[in-house]
Amino acid sequence: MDFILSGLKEAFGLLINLDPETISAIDVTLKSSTFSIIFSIVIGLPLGFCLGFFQFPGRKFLKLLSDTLLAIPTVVVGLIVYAFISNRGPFGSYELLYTLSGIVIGQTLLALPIIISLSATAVEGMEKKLYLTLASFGLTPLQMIKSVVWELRHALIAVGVAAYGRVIAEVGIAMMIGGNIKWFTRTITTAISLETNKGEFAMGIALGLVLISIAFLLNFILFFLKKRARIIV
Amino acid sequence: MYELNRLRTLYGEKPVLDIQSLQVNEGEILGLVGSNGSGKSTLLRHLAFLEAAQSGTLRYRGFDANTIPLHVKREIGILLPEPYLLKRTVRENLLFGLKIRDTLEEAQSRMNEALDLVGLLPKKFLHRAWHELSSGETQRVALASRLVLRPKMLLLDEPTNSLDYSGVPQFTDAILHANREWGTTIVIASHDLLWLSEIATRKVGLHFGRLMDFSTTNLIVGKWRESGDERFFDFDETQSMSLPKSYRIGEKRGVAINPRDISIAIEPFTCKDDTVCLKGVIRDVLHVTKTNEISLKIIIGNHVLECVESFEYFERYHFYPSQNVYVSFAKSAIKVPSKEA
Repeated sequence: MDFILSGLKEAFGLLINLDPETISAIDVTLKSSTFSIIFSIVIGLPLGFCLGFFQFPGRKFLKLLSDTLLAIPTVVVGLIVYAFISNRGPFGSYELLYTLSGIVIGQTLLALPIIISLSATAVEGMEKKLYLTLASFGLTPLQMIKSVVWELRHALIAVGVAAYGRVIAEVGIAMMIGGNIKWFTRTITTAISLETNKGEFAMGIALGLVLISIAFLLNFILFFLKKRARIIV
Repeated sequence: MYELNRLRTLYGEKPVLDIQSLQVNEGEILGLVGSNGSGKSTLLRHLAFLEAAQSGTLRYRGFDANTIPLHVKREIGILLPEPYLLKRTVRENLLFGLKIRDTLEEAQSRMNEALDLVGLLPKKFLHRAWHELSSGETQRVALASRLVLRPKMLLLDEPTNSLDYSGVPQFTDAILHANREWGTTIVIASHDLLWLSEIATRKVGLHFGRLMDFSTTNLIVGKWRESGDERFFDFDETQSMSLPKSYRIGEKRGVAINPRDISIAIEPFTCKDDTVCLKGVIRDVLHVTKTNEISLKIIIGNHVLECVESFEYFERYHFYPSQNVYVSFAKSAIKVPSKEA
């Protein structure tokens, strides 16, 4: 029991004194997750919108596929990306393995199905009344798309927040693609896993606290967004 | 404004709308009367070009439904039942249509005018968010956001649904204002016959998607029993009505009686052979100022009949709600809508 308490004490010390190694892991995590969430939103939101809004052949199959990929294990994404960017892979020459960019690619692929599937569900579940109300103003197709996105903004931001939560907490991709290199590609989750293996609880706990705080903040935002999104007048 | 020809819409196998011919004239206020599921809302969605009918033609100011340009479509405003506001402030809701149409000059004065018309104080409401409004206020803002556009054509689907007593006259004034000041042609679907009689210049009945005689507002829908003999409108203890076999109408078909064909008396009288005589109680008495007539709603069994009498007749007898009256109409006044109607 003692080692947990002393670990906790030490952990606060690390955070208060802004221990460079701890800060580095936090920095890498925030960078990789932020970039990957931006890329996945830029790519995924338009796709999700089309999937939810338009009727076209194969739509149901694509929706099923993206729903299935929601549950894809991070190590499988890691494996696939590894296969493509390792030296022997088709993109080996770009030397992306064990880099932050590599992690960003992997995490983007992880977040993409979440963004696509959940935003498609949000657009699909849009009330008919909203659609008819917008349509009754005589909108051009572009005005219609812009207005739908704006009306569903709370739901769509909630989708982004949910995907961000998954990306920031994942360990498989960061470990396999990033390689857990201290100062460079060590993230919060890979650091916790490694430090704990080494018996270094303090840093693990400190980083765990940071992760939990971020998760709390995300859920706090989600809570309010969902409340907003549900208010239908 | 509109010309409809053989307009038909099916949901699955069931026809929900089957209109042989209908015209909506410029400047009129057309009331659409009918029970739930009679096709009123479907017709309005067609008129707003939100949904296409499966067959037939629908023209708005000469433009066909398939080729109507967007700027012409934008002349039409529709207020849907259970109104929906965009998730923005009242101001943004009012501005939305103006922005789309790129007509932002005079926006502020138009917004104030529209809110005034629906009885909301601009100062108090302009900056309220959508979730800070009651359902009645939501309905008012929804109407205001259509009025602000000064539409040439305004379609209203059950506009008085979530309004309280003070809201209805306010809406009446707002609708009449649009009609008189801006020349807006208006089509209103409502089950509130009395209110429609007050506001509409013409009424059309819809029954299971079919049009009824234009002057007809009394739609009496079964369940019907077939009376063994040739008795008409025989209410039994179960309040079901009977019609003679010769009418051959299905259990749930409706028959129509023009309110002007119905006469009422406060004393019993001898019923002639070609006449149907019933006993009822007055529920509402309304003065239709436009025609200087009195519209009475009379409860007979569990049905309500509207009848129209002249103001002079009313002055003579002073009908009042809860009064017992004797109602009569000629057997020939009972119209069974034919499939071709």
